[in-house]
Amino acid sequence: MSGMRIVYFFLIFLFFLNPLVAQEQEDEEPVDPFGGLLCFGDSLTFGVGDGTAAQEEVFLAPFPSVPAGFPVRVEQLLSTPVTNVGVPGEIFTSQGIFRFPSEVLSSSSKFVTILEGSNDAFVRANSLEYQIALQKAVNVSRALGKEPVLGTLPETCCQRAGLTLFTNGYSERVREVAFLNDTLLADVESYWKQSCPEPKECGLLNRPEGLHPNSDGYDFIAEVFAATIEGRVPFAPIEEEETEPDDQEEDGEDQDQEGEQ
Amino acid sequence: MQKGQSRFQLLVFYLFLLLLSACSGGSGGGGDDASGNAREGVRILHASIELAPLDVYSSISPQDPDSGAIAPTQRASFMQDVFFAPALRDEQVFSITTAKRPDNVSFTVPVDQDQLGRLTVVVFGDISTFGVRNTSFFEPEVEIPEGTVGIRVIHGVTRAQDIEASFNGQSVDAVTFGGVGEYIFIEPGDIEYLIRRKVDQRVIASGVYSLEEDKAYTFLVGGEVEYFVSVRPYLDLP
Repeated sequence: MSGMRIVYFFLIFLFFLNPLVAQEQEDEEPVDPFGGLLCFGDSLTFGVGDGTAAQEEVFLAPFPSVPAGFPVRVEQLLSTPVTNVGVPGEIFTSQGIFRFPSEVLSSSSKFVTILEGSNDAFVRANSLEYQIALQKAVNVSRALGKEPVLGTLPETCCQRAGLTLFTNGYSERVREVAFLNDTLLADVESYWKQSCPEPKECGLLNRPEGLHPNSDGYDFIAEVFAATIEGRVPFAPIEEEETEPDDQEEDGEDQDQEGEQ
Repeated sequence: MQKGQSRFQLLVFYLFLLLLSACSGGSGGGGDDASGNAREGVRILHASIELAPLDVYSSISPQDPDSGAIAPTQRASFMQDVFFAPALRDEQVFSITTAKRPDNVSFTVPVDQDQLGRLTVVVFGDISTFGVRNTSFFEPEVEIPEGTVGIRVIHGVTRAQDIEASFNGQSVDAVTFGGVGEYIFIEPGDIEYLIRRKVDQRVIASGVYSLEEDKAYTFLVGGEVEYFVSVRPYLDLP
């Protein structure tokens, strides 16, 4: 009889142990569901202009001395290791695309974000040429087993307003390549336009410099990339807003127009 | 006493089940290692690094009764896995288009009813310099000597007029740009390959693939020399 008690006791012990073992097994599994990101691009990936506030007057966007830009923010948002391989000043169609294979080859990340093209606008690179280069990058990524995440380019303003014609053209090409290849699309430009309907007053950019995002701008881009990779809608609307009285809604609209995030 | 014993056995059994559940946790299920190749069908080998994915449509594929749309027979991306997709046995024209753009036809491949079997379409070249090219052929009947693996090369890499290849040290004849080499038969297992550009003997790709016996593979060489070259084996037979 005492033997039976021991067995009962042992069973109860196991009953409680079982979830613990299962928990331990879960703990052993990788905590990171994303497998790391390689962030490829130019100064907008590197993080030039980060550290400034919306109300500051910035004529020359500062170079960050610490890890900056959207990659470091995505690392926090997704809790996955991120490698920033942005090269300021790089032209995608004539420089970046040739650097791309070696960067992807030497990376163990599962995802590769590509956000580049602002400097192509300076040299007025043909948008078809841009699309071919981007398609090449997608093909290289997938041949190496990495999943590309393509980013459209934020609108410029002020001293760099003239670039918008080109960057918008490149963004159209980014959407097309994403569509044809079924890749993830971080449509920064679309959300940017929603938030900054009046580019001259956009609180996401260093102004009057007009090309590089400020801290709020990099927060914004990071949210778009993180949401895209997580499979959710960036800046998902808050339901409470619908129940707010009319006067408060108007206040909200005013704030939106100021471009504050 | 017997009742006590059976209870005890039941408890031991339960104990065993609990232990089993506590110790288990590995992933279950094995993969289906069937080739996935249809006996009669079509496949696209996409070796063009500048080109978007491609769709192949058959002129005799049935339309969707609701939308009127025709589903592509196959979609192929640069150096990605593809199998022979089943196609109807009849006179037809295969149209190769940009993926998701059925009206954007790149080229067509007409097929007579007599020509049955497996049709391979190779797309190579580039947009910006050499132009996108294609070649298509019906797979030949190949007898694989027992205990060997058959290997051939298709050359779809730009910036190399001819390439040479060797597999576990055994060389194959040089293959011209867009060309299809002859099969060689070697011992299966880990196959080390080495691809060179003939003109300057520059090694453009090397690596190892594990290949099974009594099968035949195409080693497709795609991409662009001095930029990015990819090599991938595709199962031809059985």
